[in-house]
Amino acid sequence: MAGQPAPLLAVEGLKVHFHTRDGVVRAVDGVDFQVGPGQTLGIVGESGSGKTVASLTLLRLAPPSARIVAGRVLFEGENLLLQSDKRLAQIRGRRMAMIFQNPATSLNPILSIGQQLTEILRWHTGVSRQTALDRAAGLLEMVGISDSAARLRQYPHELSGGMKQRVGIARALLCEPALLLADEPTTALDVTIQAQILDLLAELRQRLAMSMVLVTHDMGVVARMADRITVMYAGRVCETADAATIFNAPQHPYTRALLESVPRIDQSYSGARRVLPSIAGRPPDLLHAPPGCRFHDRCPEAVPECRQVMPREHLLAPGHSVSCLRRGSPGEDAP
Amino acid sequence: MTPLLDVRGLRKHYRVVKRGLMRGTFGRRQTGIVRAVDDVSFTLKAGQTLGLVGESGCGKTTTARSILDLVRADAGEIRLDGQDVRPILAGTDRAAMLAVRRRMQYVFQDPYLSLNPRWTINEALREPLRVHAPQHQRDWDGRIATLLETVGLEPRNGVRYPHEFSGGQRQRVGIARALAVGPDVVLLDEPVSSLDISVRSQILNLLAALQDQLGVAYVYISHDLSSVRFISTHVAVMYLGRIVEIGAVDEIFVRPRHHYTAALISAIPVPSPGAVDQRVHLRGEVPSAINRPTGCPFHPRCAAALPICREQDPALQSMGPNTQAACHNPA
Repeated sequence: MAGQPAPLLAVEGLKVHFHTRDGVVRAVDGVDFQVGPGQTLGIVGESGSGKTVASLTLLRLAPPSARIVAGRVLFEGENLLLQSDKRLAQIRGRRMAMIFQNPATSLNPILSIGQQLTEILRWHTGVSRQTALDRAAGLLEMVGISDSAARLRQYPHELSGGMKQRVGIARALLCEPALLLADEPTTALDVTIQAQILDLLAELRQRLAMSMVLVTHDMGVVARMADRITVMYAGRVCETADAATIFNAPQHPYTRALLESVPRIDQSYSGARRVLPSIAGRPPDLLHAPPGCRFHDRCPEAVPECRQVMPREHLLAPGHSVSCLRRGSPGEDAP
Repeated sequence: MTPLLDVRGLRKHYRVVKRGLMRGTFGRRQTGIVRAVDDVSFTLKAGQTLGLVGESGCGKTTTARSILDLVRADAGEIRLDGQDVRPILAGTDRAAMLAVRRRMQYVFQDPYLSLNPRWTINEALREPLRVHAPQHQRDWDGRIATLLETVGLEPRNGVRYPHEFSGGQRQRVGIARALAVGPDVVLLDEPVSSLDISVRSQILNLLAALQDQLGVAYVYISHDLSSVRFISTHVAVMYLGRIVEIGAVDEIFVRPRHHYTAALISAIPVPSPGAVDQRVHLRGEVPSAINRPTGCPFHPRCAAALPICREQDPALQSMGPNTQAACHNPA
């Protein structure tokens, strides 16, 4: 991508495996993606696709049983996978921050909102308690929580789910990070609250010129929020392109099938025979991941070669890469 | 023509009681009433699906459970082919109660929690046959095999336990169990919400095919409006225990008359990037069902509220041949 600025974040060849009693689970098995300054990347996939493990690994927050087997996470010029714990602690929350799926479990139930917010700010910047409180109050206002002085004294259980998620967002933004990771930030919320939170995130990323990685299974949410989209399946990237291309001209058979199988709210199904195009079978068990392309046994276009050769991502058009032998990808072991 | 299912004035209120140190007479204090289901009425014909939608706490699950007397309603009629079955379900005549239950069955949201982990799939499916005994015992095995095939499972897998199946397969078992006694109405409570996207469409297709094949009527509860649009012939939108709009599916989705319906539908992000934003923005959150606002319960969040909305609670009224809404100032 000539002429474009260097990416803020570049993940290269990331492999994260879990060693279990039953064998090795290849949760993330060779994943690449980039996020440019001010850009929002949507990572889409089903459960078990590796999207959450990949995003947690960016900040080395994956569970202790996860082993980072290979790859680099280049963020603002340094490989985070090689940094000391001390250095990472300086980056977490300050340059790269995270919003979690479940606001009910990601806030500490025995600390007041004010304590949780100021702790982070004081740890990172060493400002006084009062300055930190003022800043926290300002952020609560910014995420749409009125009467912030009173809210700072409240505890998580006194807030509704939507409010807690707003606090989670405020906490992530305390130090004005360059990159915000959001893992299913609205999945636990009701739809009208989801709409409010998405509006808020869209507004904040504009205002603060932030980059964002948005992990979700909801095609509607990525369509609304993402500039670029990476589709993951069974620990591998199928396809990456700008949002319009993914939705209007998807190339990977999985991307196509995924988009078609979701019923659309803007389409009438009465009168017609009600059949959604669906993907047969289910995602593979990663303990026994099939050889070759991970999608081959569910793929309508699979040829015998797909059963043996794992495709490697290649560029179809500028900014549009796909990993499929039927779209001209080379095999993984090809020179 | 008498509708298959005719629910009239269904009501379920919960008293909120604060207990002090001394339980019983001294410490108890009633502090409010949760109107979980408040005067809910709808009809359903054979082969139709009513989608029951709304946000958490709106009363959709309590409505469905009250219909089967899994939650005992305070008032209302549940007419099945014209006969009020609520006294039968709540009564002491077990044979009569079972006869009604045979006609109405329930599929639960979480197939992980609604199957006994110690029972094989065959045993799980034998239970309704044993309880309801719709046919002779020697026919049970054949019936179970047919049921498993009907929902797309291999009969030879019936000897396995629930943990050996994926979520989608388990939900197929849940559906087979509900169909075992040949019901006329199946209440489906978020049947695809806990499933992966690529598996959801399989289950939705199965439900649609079974309906075409068996002529069964569904009450389909979901907060996922896209699946509601796919599976339903009619839709009822609930807010704080009430139906605020009800009508034919396309009518509701294309031309919602209640402002809450419009906001709910427009809040769903459409899977098309750059889609024109025609959002109806909603202020605030759903108020607690204990402190329901006076007048129209939706008025504090409604952009089209008039002074009358603060004082008078609107009743459902006809907004066209196929739709009713409870609104003083409909769109």
